[in-house]
Amino acid sequence: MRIPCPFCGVRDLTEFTYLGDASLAQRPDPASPDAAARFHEYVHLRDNPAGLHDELWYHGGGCRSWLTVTRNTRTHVIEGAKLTRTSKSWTATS
Amino acid sequence: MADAALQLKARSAFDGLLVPGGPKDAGIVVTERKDLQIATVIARSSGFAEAIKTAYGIALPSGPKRIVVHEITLLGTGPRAWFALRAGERPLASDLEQSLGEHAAVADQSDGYGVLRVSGAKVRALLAKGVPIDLHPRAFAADDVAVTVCSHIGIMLWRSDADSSFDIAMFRSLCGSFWSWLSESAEEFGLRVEAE
Repeated sequence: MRIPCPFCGVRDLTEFTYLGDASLAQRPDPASPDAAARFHEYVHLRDNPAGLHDELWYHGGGCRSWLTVTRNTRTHVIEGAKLTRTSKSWTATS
Repeated sequence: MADAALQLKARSAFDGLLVPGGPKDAGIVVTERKDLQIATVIARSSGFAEAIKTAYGIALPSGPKRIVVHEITLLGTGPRAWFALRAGERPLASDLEQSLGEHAAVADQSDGYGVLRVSGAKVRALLAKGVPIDLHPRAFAADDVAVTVCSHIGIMLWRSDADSSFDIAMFRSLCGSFWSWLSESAEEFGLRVEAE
């Protein structure tokens, strides 16, 4: 399997580390009234989709960025990948 | 103890590993680049591009590219991150800190990395044994940079001036492991070590 890193280009799977569901990059607000229930869901409950899935991969063997990779869990086809963090400073040189 | 401190002497990263010599017709020629000042640069604010422009009169390309300005080689190693090298004794990190100020985080890495120049007619055949990317000129152009792995060792790789010549940088503590991979892999092509 090869992953198209937005910075480095297409790279071999061995340069990356898998973390899991990319929607978990957003942590629930601990101050919200239903924080306990939302954290229970955040920590323990996972969807198991058959098809497209956004997931976090770390490019430790390359540009050391976290990527959000869209992968088809049925076929392992990678539909695309983007940098997970997009703050203003990322475009510092553009 | 004070006397012992006086006897400390700087050693290059590949000191004791590279022994000059080897066949004249060797397919692989290796030289250690010892005389380098090295620093990492990470952009901290949106004023970074402007600060670079003011100090060096250039726009840094984003992406894994090499650019040379004022004798400083800048390699794009990640989003907002660059690896800077300059030959000679003049300290590089303090120069960069001075010109970029609060817009960048600069760290002196001169003693942290070892850098080899690997050239010769068989250099791509050699690197193909360890590096999982295509280094053919069609895929890896003159100013391209790759941060990747070679035989499980994290490296930075870029073309030096000549067509069949690459510079490879790695953490200093991994130089021994890298050299054992390179020297064994190069055996079939013939290996010559040259002094800088």
